[in-house]
Amino acid sequence: MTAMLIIGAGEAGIAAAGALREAGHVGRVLVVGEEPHHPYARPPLSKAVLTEDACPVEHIRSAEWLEERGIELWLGACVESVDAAAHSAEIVRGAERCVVPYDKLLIATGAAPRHLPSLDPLGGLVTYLRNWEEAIALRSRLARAQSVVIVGGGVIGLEVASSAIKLGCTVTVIEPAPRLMARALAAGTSEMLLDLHRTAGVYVRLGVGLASAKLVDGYAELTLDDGDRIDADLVVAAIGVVPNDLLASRLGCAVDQGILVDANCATSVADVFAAGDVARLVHPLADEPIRVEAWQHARRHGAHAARAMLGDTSPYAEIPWFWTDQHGVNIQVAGLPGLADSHVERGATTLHLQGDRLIAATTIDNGRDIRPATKMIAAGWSGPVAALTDPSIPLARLAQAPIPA
Amino acid sequence: MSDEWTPVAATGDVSEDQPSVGNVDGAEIAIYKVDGDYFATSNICTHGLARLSDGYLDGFLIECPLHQGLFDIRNGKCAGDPVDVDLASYDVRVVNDTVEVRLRA
Ligand SMILES: Cc1cc2nc3c(=O)[nH]c(=O)nc-3n(C[C@H](O)[C@H](O)[C@H](O)COP(=O)(O)OP(=O)(O)OC[C@H]3O[C@@H](n4cnc5c(N)ncnc54)[C@H](O)[C@@H]3O)c2cc1C
Ligand code: FES
Repeated sequence: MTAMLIIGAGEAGIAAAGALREAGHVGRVLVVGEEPHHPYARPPLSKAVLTEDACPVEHIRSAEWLEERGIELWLGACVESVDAAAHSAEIVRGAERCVVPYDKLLIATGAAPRHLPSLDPLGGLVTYLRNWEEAIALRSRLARAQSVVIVGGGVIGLEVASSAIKLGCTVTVIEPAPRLMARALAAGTSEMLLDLHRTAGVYVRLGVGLASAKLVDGYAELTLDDGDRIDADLVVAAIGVVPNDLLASRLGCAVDQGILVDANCATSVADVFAAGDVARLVHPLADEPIRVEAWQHARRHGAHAARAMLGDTSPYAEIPWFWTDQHGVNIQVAGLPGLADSHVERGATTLHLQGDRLIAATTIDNGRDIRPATKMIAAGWSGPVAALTDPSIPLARLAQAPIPA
Repeated sequence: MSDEWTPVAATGDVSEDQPSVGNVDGAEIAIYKVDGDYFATSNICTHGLARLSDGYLDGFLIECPLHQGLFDIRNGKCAGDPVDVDLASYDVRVVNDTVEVRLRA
């Protein structure tokens, strides 16, 4: 019987384990996770976990769910190295060290916050946010903090800003790019978001970087590139993530800003697969391999990897999707708006086109449009912009209509 | 009383494109119409704070507008991640152009 080893007990790893069983795999399924906690969802960490007292942890799957399926879960266990030729992994679990053989291996090690060395002089006043401990620590510090500076105007930084304002802090966001969430959003949405944050009372400094940081009488004193100074009693560094791809790189996988995988989640090494935040994949919407850092993708990609490990060769073509909640507004993006060259506004939904092809959609408090838009993107909808502009025709109806020639 | 029928909407007000919202004993419910038949469930997603009436109806499945959780509107059962708690669902009847509902035991 084939043994499946999954490294990383996050969304991708747990989804893979479940999908292996769903596809009828009867051999061993072992998930090894470095964190001590039962696998949990990260999205609440920058939202409800920060703003609500004792917000319960949201488990990805219950212990019973995993048990019923005969999925073994080793927590607080770290895969130190993999011998791809021998098909085995060396795992450290507390004081124990053991070697586990596998037939197929899935690397779902996720990503870690990018370190910002210029903040190091601030010591304990700096927080990063990826895991449960960091979220709990941030929550208790936000409750006491007066002035919070968030370095990075990406999705995590802005969600923390939104939570911190709600808790009554004075909040400044520093973003060196000329607009917010520049990688993930079209320019129009960035503008709306800037408005939203400024209206809520967040000081947003765009187009200016952090020059230096020092500790003065227990306070953080930050100096910006333009010479401005800001004092803070808490600094949150949220300048993006780096994929945890070192293990894969050492075992021989081709790696370039993430583990390179084909449409079947296969790496360059036989019997080794990768999925989720750590993987850089080929995708029909993009010419270059992309990394998708989103909750739904991690689950779907993980499940896809599982089926591929069992021999399924259908290519992964799910349309990336993420949501973010800021100041009570729900923003959702399907597809890749960054690749678009024109945009069509339909009320609270914006459609993004590359030439005459629909490649993305953004909704503001209008999630119901995402599904039909996703269908259209997946089906390769292309046609005259005029066909999309009439807001009186529901997108759902456009999605059902045959694609215009 | 939940074992009684409660009028929640006029049939003319429920469209096939979009669920309507009604109220039963202070609970918000969503009323759906598919191929001429009416269905009703709780309107609040069991995963987070979202109204299913703002979601997307695809056949007998309602998709939550926040995280795309799916429920079967015929029985309130979960039909797609991330939801894992079923919705309350209601029996539905039409009396004189009025949609009436009753909590299903
Ligand atoms: C604060 C926050 C808020 C977010 N909000 C949203 C949102 O609103 N919407 C959205 O779409 N997405 C959101 N995301 C993104 C989403 O959570 C991630 O895309 C998703 O968690 C990725 O899943 P993954 O399984 O690939 O990686 P991870 O969840 O990072 O899991 C990887 C796991 O592998 C473990 N690991 C790493 N190396 C080893 C090793 N050698 N041995 C054993 N274990 C190892 C790690 O400890 C980790 O637990 C958010 C993320 C964060 C951090
Ligand atoms: S709130 Fe409905 S799926 Fe999350």
